[in-house]
Order: sequence, then C-alpha cells, then structure tokens
Amino acid sequence: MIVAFLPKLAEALRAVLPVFAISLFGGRNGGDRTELIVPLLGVLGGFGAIGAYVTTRFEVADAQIVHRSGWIMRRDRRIPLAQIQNVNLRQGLLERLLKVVTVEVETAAGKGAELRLSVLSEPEAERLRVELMAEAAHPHEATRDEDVYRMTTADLWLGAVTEHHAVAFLFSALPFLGGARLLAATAFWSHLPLLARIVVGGLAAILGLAAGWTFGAVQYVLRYGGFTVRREPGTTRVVYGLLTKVQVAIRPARIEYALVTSTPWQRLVGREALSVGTAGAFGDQGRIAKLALMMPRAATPAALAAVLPGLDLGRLAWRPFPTRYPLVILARGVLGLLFTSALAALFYQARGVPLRWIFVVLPFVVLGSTIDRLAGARKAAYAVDEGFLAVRQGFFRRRTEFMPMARLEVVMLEQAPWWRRGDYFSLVSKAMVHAVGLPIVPGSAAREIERTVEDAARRRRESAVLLPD
Amino acid sequence: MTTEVERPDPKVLKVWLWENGLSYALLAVPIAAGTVFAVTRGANPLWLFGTLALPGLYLLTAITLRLEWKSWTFRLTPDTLEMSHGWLFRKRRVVARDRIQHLDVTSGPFDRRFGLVHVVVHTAGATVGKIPGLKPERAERLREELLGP
Repeated sequence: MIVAFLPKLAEALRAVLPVFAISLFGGRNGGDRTELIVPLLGVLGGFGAIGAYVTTRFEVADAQIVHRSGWIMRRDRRIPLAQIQNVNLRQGLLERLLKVVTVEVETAAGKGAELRLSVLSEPEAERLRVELMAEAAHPHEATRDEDVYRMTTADLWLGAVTEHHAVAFLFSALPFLGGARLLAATAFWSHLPLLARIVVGGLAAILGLAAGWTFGAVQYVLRYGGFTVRREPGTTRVVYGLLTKVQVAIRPARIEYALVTSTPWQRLVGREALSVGTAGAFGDQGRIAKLALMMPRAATPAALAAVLPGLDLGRLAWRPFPTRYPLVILARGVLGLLFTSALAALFYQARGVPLRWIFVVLPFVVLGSTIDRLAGARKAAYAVDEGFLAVRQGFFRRRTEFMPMARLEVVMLEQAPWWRRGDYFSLVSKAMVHAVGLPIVPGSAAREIERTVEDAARRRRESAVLLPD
Repeated sequence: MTTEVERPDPKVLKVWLWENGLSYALLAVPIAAGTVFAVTRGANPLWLFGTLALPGLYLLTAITLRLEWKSWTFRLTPDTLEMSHGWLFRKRRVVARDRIQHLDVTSGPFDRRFGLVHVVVHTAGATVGKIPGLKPERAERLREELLGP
C-alpha cells in the first residue's frame, strides 16, 4: 500500500515544485504562503491514490480488458483488445527503485491514455503488455525478438548537442523571467554606459545560451539514454530513458503516419530522425513516437520499410510542386506574419499580461518557417502511388511525411477562385488522427489521390469477406 | 446502387434564408436601439439610415446563399461518399465509405418547418462534413446505404 502511495506523492511534489520556484523567484517574499495549499492537495491526492489502488481491479477476458475502479462512484470500463493502438510502460525514478510500473493503454478515442494502471510489479506489467498485444501477433511472423535499432553512445551525445534546446531553455528559465529579479537586472543594466551595456548584455546572452544548451543536452541524455527499438511478434517496442524509463509498444499494422526529419547539424554527421504516428498517443511524446533519433541516413529506407510495409523509397516517383508554390508560401507567410505581429503588438501593450514576450517571439517563428519553406520550395516534392502519399518540404529543417493509402479516411480539397484557371487545389489527406497536407497540387494529382483512396476502399470491400479487419 | 450526383432539396435555401433572417433580426434590434438612443442624445439623425445597411447585407447574404446552394452536390459511389460545395472557395471531400463510423441526422426548427434534415458524417478521427437539406426518407436511405450490411 505504501508502494501505491509513494509514486503518487512524488508526482504531487513534482507538480508543486514549479509553483514553489515561481513564488520564490517571483518576488513575493514574506507572502501569505497560499502556495502551501498545493502540497497539501498533493498529500491528499496521495491518500486518494491509495484508495484508488485498493478499489481497482482489472482482468483480461473475452478479448477485452475489463477495468473496474472507484469507491463511491464505481466505473466499469471495457476496452476490446482489437481497439488498442499502443501500450506504454512508464517508470519514474522512484517507481524504478520500488520495481513497479505504470501501464498506459491507448486507443484512438479522446486525448490521453484511456486506461492507466499504476503500481504494477515489473513481471506483471510485462505479462499484461504481452497479453494486450497478443491479438496483433500473426503466427507466420518470426517469433524471435530482435533489436532493430540501438542508439550508440556517440549518437546520443551528438544528438544531445545538435538538438536545438531553445524551447527547453525558455521553459526552464520561465521561473526566472518576468519576475522581480529580471526587473532588477534590467534596471541595473539600463543604468550602465552604452559600451558596458553591450558587453554585459552580450555576456549574459552567451552565458544564458550556454547554460540553456547544457541544460537541454543533459535533459536529452537523461530522457533518451539507452534508446532501443525491438521487434517482437506483432509489435515494435521502443525503450528509452535513463531516469524515467519508458517503453512504448506499437502495432506496426496501426501506423498511419511516418515522418523523417533532419536538421543541418544532423545532415552534417549523416543522420536523420524517424518518427511514426498511430491513432493513439504515446504518453509525454504526444501524437508522434520517435523511432530513431540519430539514424544513419543509409539505414532510413530499411527502417521505413520496416514500419510501413510495402514502402520502397527508391520506387517513389517524386514530382515537384507547381511553379507557383513559392507564391503560396509567401502569401501564407505574409498573412501569418501580419496576424502574429498584430497579436504581438496587442499583447505587448497590455502591461499586466504575464509572459507577453512569448507573443513577440511568434512573428519570428513564422518568419523563420516561411524562409525555411521558401528556401526549400525548389526541392519540395510529393509522390503518389497506390500504396502511399509522401510529401517532402523544408530546407534547413527537412521533413518528409508518409501516409499509407490504406489508412487514409478523408481527402479534403479546396480551390480558391484564383486557382480555377490553372486547376490547382490545396489538399489535406486525413487518417484517423494524422494528416498530410499539400499546399498546392494540380487538379490531375488531386483526382489521382481521390481515385487511389477509392481503389483502396474497393480492395478492402472485395477482400472483406476473406479478411475481416 | 446510386452513383448519380445529388443535390440538397431546393427548400433548404428557404431554411437558410430564414435562419439568416433571424440572426440578422436579432442583430438589428440592439443596433437600431443604439442608433435611436444616440440620435435622441443629439447625434446626427442621418445615422438612422445606417440601420438600412442591414437589409442590404441580408440581400447580399441571400445572393451568396443561393450561389452556395447551387454549388452543393454530393455523390455516393460504391466505395466513397463525395461532397462538394462552395461558390467562391470550392471545397470537396471524399470519404472512404468503410471509414465512416456513424451518421447524425439532425434538424433545427426551420429544417422541421420545411420537412428537411441534415446529415453529419463522422469518421473515427473527424467530423467530415454536413450534407444539408435532405428529405428524411433520403437521410434514412443514406444511413442504410452507408452503414447497412
């Protein structure tokens, strides 16, 4: 029972820490200590967790997972195993010490995990995972488990240093920004002579950046250390994390989206990153699960073929975007810039709004992505065949998206009046959760995609008698 | 199995006109009241003519609604449901029929007044679209065609 309590208590403490930090650095010295309510709530939550733990029962029966919980309000939730998209095993530091695991069951419904079973013993969690994913296993598949990809230590450090940590840094610095300390610092700074201002400001910027980068790199190593992809019958398992250990179990048959990205730094060392998406979420990774963070480029085609069976990169016929594609990017960029600038101007004048500087950053983000797309416009391309839709965009940060036609549900086309004459469309193809967008395609290609979706549906209908899905 | 291009019932135009008329009327009340109040307080009486802009706008809306209705078509092929509409920005959606999870048949007060319903199409991931102005029999048949065995 105490085992059930401890991780929850730790969770509560973690939730409280940023509040403490903000109240400490926010300049509210000698305040009324209302923030103490938060840890109190945490302790109460801990006791609540014990209650939940004691009253929860679950079992796997009739190809369903049955989960009964609650004390006053009872809940009986049943999820058919066939509906499960992925199963995530998560172990915080404390949970690892206590040798217990939290299991998250993800279906396509809603946001977040549909079922969270905390404080399972390690072998129990492992057994449950195998049981839940058993439906996906095909008898003709190789039964031997094998490591498909293991991130080397060199790649881990390379990734840690080359990943840009601007966002991580900003968030880690949040408690320190916008508070009384920053005000005092800027007041001090503005009283200096011009030359000293430049020197002090520059030094502060460099120091801040270095500190933020180191912070981000360490975080990256702790988060992704020991990154391994294993293939097992019917599932692919991704394991990572030095402190919090996460195991994501994906059913390859459910993958509806794959994304290959590379930054200039990654290209410099010949690496790419591969992520996939199903209709379920992957815990704190959100809708997209990373399958390889720093993969040698030569390994990409094989890795892609492994996650999207039938995808042959060499056979895809890439077509360039229509020549007016840069115009589209430019128009969208200008609109976005106008909008975010207006927002920034509006919020920057509202003195009381906290974090208003975030709005000032927005136009630069839009500008950056527009420049990136414009630079990459010449190389941007898309490919359509009976199996897949693929789109390649970006210059500095290159991204290639893949969507299997069999997973596609809806094709949405839109034609602006000024595109009538040239017969152009903008197209979004949607699977259950993920979508691949083509900002501009010729009508012929749009109709081709529609036809492919129709053909895929026909094939499913004709084979439905033989292979119920 | 029908594969011909179908259109919403012409009466749906009346539904839309009524619906928009109601919202314009609701909008007109505070505007007219405000203008009258301002004029009694010494504002230029010419402002009263400004209220006339609303009927003008409504006329414009009526024209666009007519164009919108004219542009609305849908088609049920053996494997897909296609919807297209929009007179300025043309929109077109193609859904694989076996991906449709459920259909909602809904009707507002004006829909009921003219004996129409509209059908909202849902897949697992999204609401794909709304086919307006269907006769209840057609909606029921559509439901059977799309979700029946």
